[in-house]
Amino acid sequence: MRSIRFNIWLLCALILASAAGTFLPQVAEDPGRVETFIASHSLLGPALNSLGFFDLFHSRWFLALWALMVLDIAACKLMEFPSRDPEARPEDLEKMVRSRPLTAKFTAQDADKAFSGIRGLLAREGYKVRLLPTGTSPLAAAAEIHSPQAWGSFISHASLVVILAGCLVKWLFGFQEYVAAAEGSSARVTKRPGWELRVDSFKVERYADTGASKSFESKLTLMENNLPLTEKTIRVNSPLSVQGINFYQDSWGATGKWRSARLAWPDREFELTQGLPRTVPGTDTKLTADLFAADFGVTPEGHADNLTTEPTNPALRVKEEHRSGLSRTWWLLQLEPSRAFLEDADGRLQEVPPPPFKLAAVDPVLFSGIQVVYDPGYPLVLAGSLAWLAGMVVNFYLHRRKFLVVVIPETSRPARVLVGGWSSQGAVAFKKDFDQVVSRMREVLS
Amino acid sequence: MMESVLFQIAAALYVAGTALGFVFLYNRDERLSRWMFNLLAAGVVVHLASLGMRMKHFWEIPENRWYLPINSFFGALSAMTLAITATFVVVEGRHRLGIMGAFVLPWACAAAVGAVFRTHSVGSTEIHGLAPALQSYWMNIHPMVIMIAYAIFGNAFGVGLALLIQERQLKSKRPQELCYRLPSIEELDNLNYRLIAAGFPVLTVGIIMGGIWAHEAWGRFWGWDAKETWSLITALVYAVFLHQRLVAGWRGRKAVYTSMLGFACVVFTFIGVNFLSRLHGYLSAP
Repeated sequence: MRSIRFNIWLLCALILASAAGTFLPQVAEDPGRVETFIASHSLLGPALNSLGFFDLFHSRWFLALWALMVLDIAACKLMEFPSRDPEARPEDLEKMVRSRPLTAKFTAQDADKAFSGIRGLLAREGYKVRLLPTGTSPLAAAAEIHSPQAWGSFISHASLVVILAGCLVKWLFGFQEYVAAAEGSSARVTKRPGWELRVDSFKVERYADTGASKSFESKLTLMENNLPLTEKTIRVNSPLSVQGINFYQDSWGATGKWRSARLAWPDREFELTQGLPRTVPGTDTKLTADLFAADFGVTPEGHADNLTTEPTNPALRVKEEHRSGLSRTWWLLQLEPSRAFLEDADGRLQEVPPPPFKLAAVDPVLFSGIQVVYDPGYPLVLAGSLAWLAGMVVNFYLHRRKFLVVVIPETSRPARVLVGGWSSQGAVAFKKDFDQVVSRMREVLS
Repeated sequence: MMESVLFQIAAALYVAGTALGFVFLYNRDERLSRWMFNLLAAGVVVHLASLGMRMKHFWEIPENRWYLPINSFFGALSAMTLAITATFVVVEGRHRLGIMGAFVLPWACAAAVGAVFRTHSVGSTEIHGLAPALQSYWMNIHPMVIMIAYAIFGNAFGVGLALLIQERQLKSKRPQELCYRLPSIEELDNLNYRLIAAGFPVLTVGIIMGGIWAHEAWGRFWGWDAKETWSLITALVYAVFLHQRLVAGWRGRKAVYTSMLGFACVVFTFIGVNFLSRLHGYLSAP
C-alpha cells in the first residue's frame, strides 16, 4: 500500500470509474434512460446493473476506492511528519555534500575566516543558517530558505482526508430532501418531524427573447407544529437557513391547475375559471374549460399529454356546447393559435382548423421545488478545501533550497571548501542561482 | 456587430502570429519572433476592445450587470483564446522562448477560429440573459480561474510536444536544424513540470470554488455532474503526473505522455462534456 505504484493504480482506477459514470446513464439523473439502456442491452445492461454501474458514484465499490485512497494517503504521508535532515557524523559530511545534486569545491587560506564569510553571505541572501555540531573540525553549516515548503505536501494530503471526512459526515448524519408545494399550499419536511413549509407566493420572470427563466423566487413560511417559525423570500443563490438546515430554491413548474383563462375573438375577450361553464354573451354557446397542459403534446396513441411541468407549450381543454345539442371538445394552444385539436369521446385527438376563438392567456397555479439540506460535513469540506489550497500554494509556489557548506582545514595546505545545493523544484533556475552564490563565495574569499 | 468585427480582427492577428511562429521554427531571424509577440500583443489589445464592447451590450440586460459575458459557447471560446495567448506571452515571452509559438499558439488559434465559426453558425455573438443560478459573484471568479488553469495546461501541452520532437531529433542519426533551435530536453521537461505545477493548484482551487458556488445555489458541494466529474478526472490525471515526477522520478517522454493525457481531458472537459452535462452545457444553453 505504501508504494507509489499502488498509489498511481488507485488514481487510475478512480479516473476510469469516474469517466464510466459520465457515459453510462445514472439513476440519480434519469431513471428512464437507465431502464431503456438495460432493456436494449440484454447482456451488458443487467451485468452492469448488478455491479452498480448505473448508480456508480454511490456504489459501494466506488466509495471503497475513495476509502482506500484515504488509507493510502494515511499510510504514505500522514504517518511521517516532515522532519529536519538527520544530523550527520563529521566524517560523513563530505559524502553528504557530494550526494547533493549541485556541488562546488574550492580552497581558502583561512578556514575560520572563510567559514564566517560564507555564513554571512548566505544569511544576506535570505537563507536561515544553522551551524552543524562537528566539534572542532571540520566546520559545517546548513542553510535553508522557504523551509515551510516541506509541509506543503503533508498539508495538502491531510486536507484531502479532511474533505473526504466531511463527505462521510454528510453521508452519516446529513440529509437532503426535495419538497414541492403549490402557491398558497404547504408540504411537510419529512426528515424533520413537525416542520412544514408553506409557499405563500411564487414569482417567476422570463426573458422575452429566449423564454428562459430570468428569476424565480418563493416567499416561504416555515411552520413548526403549525406555528410560524420564520419566513423569507428565497431565490437561487439566496437560501433560507434555520438551525443549520438550508432551504434552496431548486425548481418550479405548473401544477396542472389554473386560476383563470382568457379566450379571444376578433372583437372581444372572455374570461373562464376552471370547471365553471359560461355562456358567451349574445350567443347560445356555452364554454367550459377544465384541463390545462403546461407542455402540451400528443401521445403515439393520439391522446393529449403533458410532457413536462414547464409551461413551454401551454394548452387548455375547452368544451363548446350549443343549445342545438352540438358539442365539441377543443384543445387550444396559446403559443400556436393557428393550430387546434378536437378530442373525441375516447379522448383521441385530431388536428383541425381552429375555432373562431383562441386562447389568449392562462394563469396557471405554479409549484415551487425546494431542496431541504442538512449538511453537517460542509464546514469540514470547506476547512479541508482551504487547507488544500494552502498546502498546494506552499508546496508548488515556494521553492525550498538548501546549501550545505563544509570547510575542512588542512595543516600544510589551504583549507578545502565544499558546497552542496538542493532545491525542491526549479532545478534549472536553481542551478543559475547556485552558480551565482558560489561565485560570490569565491569573491568573498578572495 | 462592431464587437464581432473586432473579434475577427483579433483572431486574424492571432492566426498571423501563429503563422510567424511556424516560420520562426525554420528561420533563425529573431525579428520573426519579435513580430510574432507584437502581433499577439496587438491581438490581445483588439480582443480586449472587442470584449469591452461585448460587456457593454451584455450589461444592457439588467440581470447581467457586472458579470462577465462567458455564459455562451462563443464567450467561453473567446475567453479561452485570450487566456492561452496571454499565458503564452507572459511565460514564453519571459523566458524568450518564441520558438514555442508553433507548439502552443495553434490551440489559441483553434479557439479563436472556433469562436468565429460559432458566430457565423448562430448568426450572433450570443448575448443572452444569465440563468438565475449564474447571477452570482462566483460567475466572475470560478470560470475564469478554471480557464486560466486550462490555458496553463495548453501551454504545457505545447512544451510537451516540443520535448517529444526534440527527443526524436536527438535520437535520429541526422538531426534537423530544429534540433538546435529547440531548448534542451532538460529545459523543456523542467518548463513542462513547472507549468503543470503552477496550473494544478489553480485548477483545484477553481474546482473548489465551483463546489462552494454549488453549495450556495443548490445546497450540495459536489453532484457528480459530467463537467464536475471530468474536472476531477483532469485533476486526477495531473495528480498522477505530479506523483510520477516528484515521487517516482519520471522524466522526459514518459511524464510528457501523462501530461498530454491530462490536456486531452482538459479539451474533453471544455468541449465534449457540453454534450453530457445538464448544468454546464454551453452548447445547449440559450
